[in-house]
Amino acid sequence: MKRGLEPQWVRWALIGITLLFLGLMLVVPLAAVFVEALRKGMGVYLASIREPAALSAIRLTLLTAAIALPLNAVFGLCAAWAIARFDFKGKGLLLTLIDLPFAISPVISGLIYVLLFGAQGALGGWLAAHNVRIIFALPGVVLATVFVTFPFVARELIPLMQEQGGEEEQAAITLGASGWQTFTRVTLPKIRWGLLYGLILCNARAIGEFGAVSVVSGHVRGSTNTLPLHVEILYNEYNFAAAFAAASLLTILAILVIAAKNAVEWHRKRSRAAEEIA
Amino acid sequence: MSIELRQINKTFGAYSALKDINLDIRDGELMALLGPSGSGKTTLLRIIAGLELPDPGPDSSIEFDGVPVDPQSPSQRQVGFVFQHYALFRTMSVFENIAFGLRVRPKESRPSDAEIQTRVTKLLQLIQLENLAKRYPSQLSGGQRQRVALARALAIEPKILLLDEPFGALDAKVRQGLRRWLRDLHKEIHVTSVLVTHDQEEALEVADRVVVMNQAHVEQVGTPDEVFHRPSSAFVMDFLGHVNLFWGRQDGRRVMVRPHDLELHAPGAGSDGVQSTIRRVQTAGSMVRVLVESDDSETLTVELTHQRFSELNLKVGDPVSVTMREKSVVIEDYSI
Repeated sequence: MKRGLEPQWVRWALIGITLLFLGLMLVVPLAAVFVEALRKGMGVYLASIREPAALSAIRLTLLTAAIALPLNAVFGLCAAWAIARFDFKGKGLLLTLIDLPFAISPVISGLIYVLLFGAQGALGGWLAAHNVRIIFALPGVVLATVFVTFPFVARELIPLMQEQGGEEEQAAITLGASGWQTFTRVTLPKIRWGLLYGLILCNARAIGEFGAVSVVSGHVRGSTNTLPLHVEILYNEYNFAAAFAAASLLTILAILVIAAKNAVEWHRKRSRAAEEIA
Repeated sequence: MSIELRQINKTFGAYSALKDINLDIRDGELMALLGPSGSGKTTLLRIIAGLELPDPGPDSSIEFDGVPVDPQSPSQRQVGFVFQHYALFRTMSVFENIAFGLRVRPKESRPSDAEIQTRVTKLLQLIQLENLAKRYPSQLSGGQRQRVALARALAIEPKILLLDEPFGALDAKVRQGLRRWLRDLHKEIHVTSVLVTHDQEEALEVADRVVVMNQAHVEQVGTPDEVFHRPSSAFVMDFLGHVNLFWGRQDGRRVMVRPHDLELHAPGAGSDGVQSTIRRVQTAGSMVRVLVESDDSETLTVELTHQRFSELNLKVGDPVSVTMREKSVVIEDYSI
């Protein structure tokens, strides 16, 4: 253990307070989720997960994440590339806009889509006439999720690509590589850990997003409910065992995400350390 | 392959990086672009490579062997470019770095794996790094990285080799060795090469011909001997070596003269010289450098051999007279 200047008791007090706080605020509630979920036995737990509405919520959550992630990857790469490699007017404004979803309340993120595409919205009449449903349907859920998650990949890649510069790409071009070859063989390997890290954060948010999705989904059971919304509905119906069972699924996903995030962080540190050896 | 540049201009916003550049680089020669930072030499090199586009102009053209090059396609030029900071692919081993240019070729012209293996191995031998093929760039020293960058550029069998300050980031000792190595290499493979440097010693030692650049234009083109002994302008003279500046010594004109073209005499011996006093003596080196101050308060540097210096038996504070040799360079209209 590192020896500080502080007396022994200060150190133990600080460690103790931190652990106590973490225990009370994090570990106990997390444990409670699983305890509550299993209170009525494994049978009820499994039944409440296999129930059609629950399965539909799981499917929708995973589908939404599966659509939002690639969109974010593409958008994040484009934005990071544009900002890190080119100089143009309005670059500062673009950076600010990318941060907007972080600053804005998720409820408003959902609301803007209702105002835009809803029955009373600006494009509502046209959409209804062409029989296109966005609000209270899958497209709305996906749109809201993409909106709240889109800064993650871009924010991760911009500083990374600015730091790495574009000389390797220029070298690849002079060696005869096409634009696509340069991207797949030079750029992508260089930024892969950063990209993966951004996607993991993006995934966590996509799975867990409540506010924005809640506004656009309409809570149609078995159809437009995501897992977080499903949990809320069950809870409001005093169906605690089922609510906690669904919540436990989200918790497990969260723990997996943290594990993946740490693995990526460890890899990045290692490859960065390797770059600095010389 | 020869390179002909006609009326090349390049502006970045309001800043003019190149003005009316006309330059012929002969097939097989090693040309050095020499100049202070900001003189436009790197921009010119990047334009030859196609990494930068010259400003469009009616008479502006770039020709390789008399054939105009398509400005839009740097990847088709078959130009080997060695970057100042090497720009090695950090995620690839030394071997893969060198093999890159071969692997990205279209299927029809791509060599087989066995052939790539042979060619990369040959290049690794050339740069004397056979045993480091599996290392990553981060595990190499600066000099080793530079050699890998050169081998990577040579792997595509370039018609032209362009080097941007290739030794700039290396320490003096390594630089000396690599310079000689590059000279020998060029003698062996004879590819038309253009090297950018701000180090006059490097340019004079390595190049067949030197282009001296200053403030976006070409000051002089010539062999190292020509630019050193017959500089066409005060700038060239000053940039290529330390000079002294006399005011109004010859018919009221300004005169520039190199330290080794000045001579010292004991007072009385060279009565027509400039009467001065010795201020500093520096004996560490192949020549003795003596700093003198004339009676008109001009400071001059004189270089003389150790033998001559001990003959004169001078020390700091002694009065001397300074004279110019016959072949001293005389230039007017120079302002600092």
